[in-house]
Amino acid sequence: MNTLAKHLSNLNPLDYFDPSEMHHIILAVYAILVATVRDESDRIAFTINDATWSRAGLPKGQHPESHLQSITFRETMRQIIERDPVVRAHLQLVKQNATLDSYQIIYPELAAIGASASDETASRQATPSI
Amino acid sequence: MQQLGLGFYVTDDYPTAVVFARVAARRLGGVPFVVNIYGHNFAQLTGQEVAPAWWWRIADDSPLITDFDYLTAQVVGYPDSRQIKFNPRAYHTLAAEISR
Repeated sequence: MNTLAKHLSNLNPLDYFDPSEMHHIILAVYAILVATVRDESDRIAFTINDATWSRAGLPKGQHPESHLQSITFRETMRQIIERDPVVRAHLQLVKQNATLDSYQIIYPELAAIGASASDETASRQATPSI
Repeated sequence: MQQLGLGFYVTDDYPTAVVFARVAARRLGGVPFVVNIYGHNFAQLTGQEVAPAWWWRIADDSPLITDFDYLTAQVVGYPDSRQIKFNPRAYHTLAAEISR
């Protein structure tokens, strides 16, 4: 299990939000993040209507906003990024406009493994054959 | 974590139930499903509306848990939605109906 998944599974949002500012949209966005990580997605986009997560450009899941909620997922995601250092470390804003916030999901552990493999490959390639 | 502490949460508003079923399915996996819950002799149970100052901070041994059968409050974040939370001492009054 990667650091982000571990963090989300042991999460207590009250570590980052005072009870007076806590609301169910925060829990909903964290639940969406759980699904995003479970689906091994590398991107999550929040529009004015929904959250959509994807991997290599292919949609993996979508969660609609409800007309009943008082705060948007988008706004709540920004709050979470601001407060929660682990989520902040794993989500990088890559696109933002009037109707969209799109985040790249970064898994440093996988990047490290990838870097190690690449280094090894590079090293092999650099070794002169006898 | 739960707004009104330990217990079994229901709402009398179907769209709100659907929203929360969807969120639960995101968190836990599976598909959203809404069931009807009945509280036998509900009129005889003791309830308490919980003030916002207590939301998200009710301890398991709080009198709000031990001295009442159910608690009520707005669903924070969904201003038009209400919730009823049955405390463990009232679980024996509950029955679930799974529609076909």
